[in-house]
Amino acid sequence: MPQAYTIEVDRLTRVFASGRRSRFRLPRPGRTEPVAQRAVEAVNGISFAIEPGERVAFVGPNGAGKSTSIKMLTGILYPTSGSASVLGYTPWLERKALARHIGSLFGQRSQLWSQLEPVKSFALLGAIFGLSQLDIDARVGELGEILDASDLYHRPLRNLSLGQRMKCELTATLLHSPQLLFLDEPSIGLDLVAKRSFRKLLADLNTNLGTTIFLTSHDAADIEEVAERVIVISHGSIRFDGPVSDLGDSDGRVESSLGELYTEERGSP
Amino acid sequence: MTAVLARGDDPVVSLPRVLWRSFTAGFNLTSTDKAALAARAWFYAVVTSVLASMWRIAISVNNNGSGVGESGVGGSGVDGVEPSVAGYTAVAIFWYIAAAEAALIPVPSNLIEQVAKPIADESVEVWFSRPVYAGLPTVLFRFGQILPVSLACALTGCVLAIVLAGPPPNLVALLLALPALCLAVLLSIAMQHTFAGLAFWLGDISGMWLVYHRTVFILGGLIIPLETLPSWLEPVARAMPFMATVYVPGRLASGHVEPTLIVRQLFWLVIALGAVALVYRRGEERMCRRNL
Repeated sequence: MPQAYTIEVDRLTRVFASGRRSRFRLPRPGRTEPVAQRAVEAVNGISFAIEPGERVAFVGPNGAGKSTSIKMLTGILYPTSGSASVLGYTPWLERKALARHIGSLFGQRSQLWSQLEPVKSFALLGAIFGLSQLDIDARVGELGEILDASDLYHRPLRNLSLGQRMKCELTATLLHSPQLLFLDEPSIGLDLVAKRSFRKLLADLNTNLGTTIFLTSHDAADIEEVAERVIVISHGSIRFDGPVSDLGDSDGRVESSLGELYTEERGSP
Repeated sequence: MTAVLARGDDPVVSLPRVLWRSFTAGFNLTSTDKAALAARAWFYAVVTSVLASMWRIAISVNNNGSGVGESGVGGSGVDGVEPSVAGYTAVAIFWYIAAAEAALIPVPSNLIEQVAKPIADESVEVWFSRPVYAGLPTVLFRFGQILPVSLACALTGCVLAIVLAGPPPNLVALLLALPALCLAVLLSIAMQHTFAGLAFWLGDISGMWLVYHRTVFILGGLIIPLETLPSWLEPVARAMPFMATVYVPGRLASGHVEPTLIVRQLFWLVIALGAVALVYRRGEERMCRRNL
């Protein structure tokens, strides 16, 4: 039987051009031409495949191309070249259809309506994802128990702490039972206790529901406690792809290995 | 190698249901905030009273044979005929202003700026990973938020008009003014979302709300009904959608039974909602292809 992949990426590339000249610029005697456009390769021909139910950490230094890659895999950014298949869809061409099967959580962007109580945001999001009110109620109840967050759902969002908000964000992300979760720095801003329970929650989701997890984070503990495989990207290219255990030291800590990978790439001693 | 396929088991997303949910979420949000409703209604009452008072003076001056009636819009107070300007008596103009302001004041004056901000800073991207486009649900959410305020203002306006001016000139026309008011608010929101959507192409459009509002003030018939505009400007104003956001509810509330005005509103509403849907759809595609 052939191997089935949840995500399959082949030589995916994204180039951003900077210094673009305005198309409406009028010619003027004596004006020197602007510096030629500079191409910045945010993602440079990356290839990998992820199997159903895998927990993968996608890590790298700032500006390595993590968020750009996630945006392409969720379909909200077109690549310059290369191909990708996510749950059988070409993300950027079938973004709306793919959206029904994936959940995406961007740690620095809320998907909840700030004026509404979370439970009302869930009702609206549920309708957007085609769920009946009965299904929404059942799912919110179920997630409330798993996340220990039922009492938060009826409080104004502005009165919730960052950790409590993140539980509501995760509820919103999981409302339509996605097969695949994209998490872009989900633990940013959380305190130690909240981070710990958040990581346990992700691991539980994966174990109990078989949800595939694709996570970016700068926090080494996220990688150690959530992921079983790590892909290191730097300057748009993949530098390492393998089990987390291969990256850890004798104590299983990945931080020093990651640090070395990052500094090697920067050319530091 | 094959890919795990999720095709074939897509849940059906009903756009009318999404729009209804968006509307009710917005409606419940505002209708439960009684303090904010009362504050808006109070502000509305002050503005309406002041404007109506100015018009009463204008009609009185016109009745004494000076000023306002130069473009053939003047009225007369002789021979038992009630003094008026362009066919609007003091009572009618009070009802006109009450309805026109009830359509305008509840809509935030910087709505275009508010809607354009998440587009300009790209936080609108959270919508891109959803099965429906952002435009129409966002409009309906806003409509739900603003409609209770508009209805509270309309109720206040009715009480003010009856107490300070007199009973409505025509009850049938007043009943027609209610759906016209709702359509006017929805149209105004849809038009402003369309303009705000231009931020997908232009980036910063923060100054556009000022231009929009100045246009509505004049061509929409806010300060003065369209009949009192210069003869060359009146047909221009009538041919534009701005009149459907302010003038139409005012005209009906002032006692003119003209149901065709509602048909005009519906015409502009279909165009405006279509434009919002198109702008957000194209804008989303553009943002996803940015810098290619």
